[in-house]
This record gives sequence, structure tokens and C-alpha cells, in this order.
Amino acid sequence: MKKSQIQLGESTAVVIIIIVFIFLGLVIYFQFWKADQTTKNEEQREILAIELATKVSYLPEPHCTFQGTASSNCYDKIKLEFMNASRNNTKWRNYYYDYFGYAKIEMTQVYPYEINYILYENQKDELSQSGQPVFIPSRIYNSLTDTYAFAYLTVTKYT
Amino acid sequence: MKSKSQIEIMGLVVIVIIIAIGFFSYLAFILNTEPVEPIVEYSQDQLAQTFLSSLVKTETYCDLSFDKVVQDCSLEQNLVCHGNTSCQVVNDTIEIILNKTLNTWGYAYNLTIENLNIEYLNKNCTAKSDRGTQGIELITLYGRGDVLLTLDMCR
Repeated sequence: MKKSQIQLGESTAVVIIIIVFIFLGLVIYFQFWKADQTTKNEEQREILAIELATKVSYLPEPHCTFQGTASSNCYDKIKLEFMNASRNNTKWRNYYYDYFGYAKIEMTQVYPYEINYILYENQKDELSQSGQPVFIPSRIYNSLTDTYAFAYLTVTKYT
Repeated sequence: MKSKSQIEIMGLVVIVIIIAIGFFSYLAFILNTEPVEPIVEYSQDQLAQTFLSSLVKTETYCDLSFDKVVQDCSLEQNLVCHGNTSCQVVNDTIEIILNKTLNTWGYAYNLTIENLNIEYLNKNCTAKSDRGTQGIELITLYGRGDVLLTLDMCR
């Protein structure tokens, strides 16, 4: 009886130890999985920001047009001024919300002088910025003087 | 009987060790995988070309576009603008734009204008560094060659 009790005790101890090891392994794995998911979420947010930046850079409204053809990577100064002035208009914001969601899109001219245009801004307080903003160098065309200025587009996505 | 139980315990220990090795090998594999930074990779692939194509048409403080000033700097160097030669204007323009853009954003880059021996480096971006897609612009010298502008963004 004693011998069988010892054997039973051994088997029980082994089973308990195995269960403890499995439990510890699951806890450690879950911690790493959580960290991996956080990284993947961050990556996904950055991809959303890039998608938005690509949409914005192909938006026809602010682009320069020459003989009816839109020029890539070139923005018309007068159109930018109009978009800047219209950005607080509710109809404007609602129209572009379908394309951009919660985001901020601005054009910053840096040379020969500095000036900033905000083309779209829609932010909810509880949303955070998705990672770093996307910068796209471009040029601003002044049709009155037929000259170009160096600028960059900043696209910030809020999620 | 003693040796039988010892053998059993040894067997269990071996199984636990094998499971532990397998688990930690898996963890090591996951931890060694480089994280992907989509915005950084996108910037390094797209930014160089868009930067140069915007730069060459930019109006300088001499009321001439950047490519025209580069042409003068490469050839006759007749231009004098606010007391500066065309080559000084080229350097001034590039420095101002770089300081307000790539330097502020913290990117490592190597901008060169080959014919003029102009080179701007930031954060040790050399030929041996891992680079994104190179940006290239050619400014023609109308039958007397071309000026090559290159911009490399380093990872």
C-alpha cells in the first residue's frame, strides 16, 4: 500500500509540475504576443498614414494645371489659398471626411519665404496621432509670377 | 525499483528541457526579426526623387530658377546676385532648404552635385550605408554636358 501511495504521489507531483510549466510558458508567450500585437497595430496605423498621403498627393483640386493637364508634385498657390480659407467650412469638411477621415493635411512653403496652408483639418480630441507624420516635398506654382517655390506636404493621420 | 523511478524522472526532465529549448528558440526567432517601419521605408523610397524634382524648379533670390543658377555656376559664372556668385547662390539655396526639411526631419542623406563638387552629408550617410531608392535629376548645359544631382536617403 505504501509503495503504491508513493507511486501515486510521484505521478501527481509530475502532473502538477507539468501543468505549472505549461502555465508559465503560456504567460510568457502571451506577454510577447501582446508586445508583437502592439507593434503590428503601430505598423498598421503608419500604413494608413501612407495611404492617406498617397491619396492626397493625387488629389486633383490643388494641383497645377497647364493646358488642362494636371502636373504631378506641383500645387497651385491660388488653389491652396482657397482651400486654406475653406477648411473651417462644415460642408467642405464633411465632403472630404469620406476621403481623409480624421487627419490634418498642410502645405508648408519653405523657400524663398515661409508660409503655411492648412488644406484639411479634422480631429477628435480622444484620437491620437498615428506615429510620425508623412512629409512629401513638392513645389508651389504662382501663376501670377510664373515661378515655383519649394514646399512640402505634411500628412498627419489620427486614429 | 530505484533505478526504474530514476529513469522515469530522467525521462520527464529530458522532455521538459526539450520543450524549454523549443520555446526559447521560438522566442529568439521572434525577437530577432527586425521591426518594419512603413513610414521610414516609404520616405526613403519616395522622398529623394520628389525632393530633387521640387528643388530644380525652385525660384532663387536672384529671380532665376535653381536650374538656371546651376547652369551659370557650371559654365560662365557671369551671374552676380546681391553680391553673391551663382555658385554661392546654389549653396545658399540648398543649405536653407535642407535645414528646413531633411535636417529638421532627422533624415540621413547624401546630396551631391557632381559637376560642381558640391556634397551635403547628414548623419554619416556614406556609400557603404544601407540606402533607399536614389533620386536623380539632370540639368542640361545645352550641348556642353549635363549636371547630375543625386540624393541618397540612408536607412
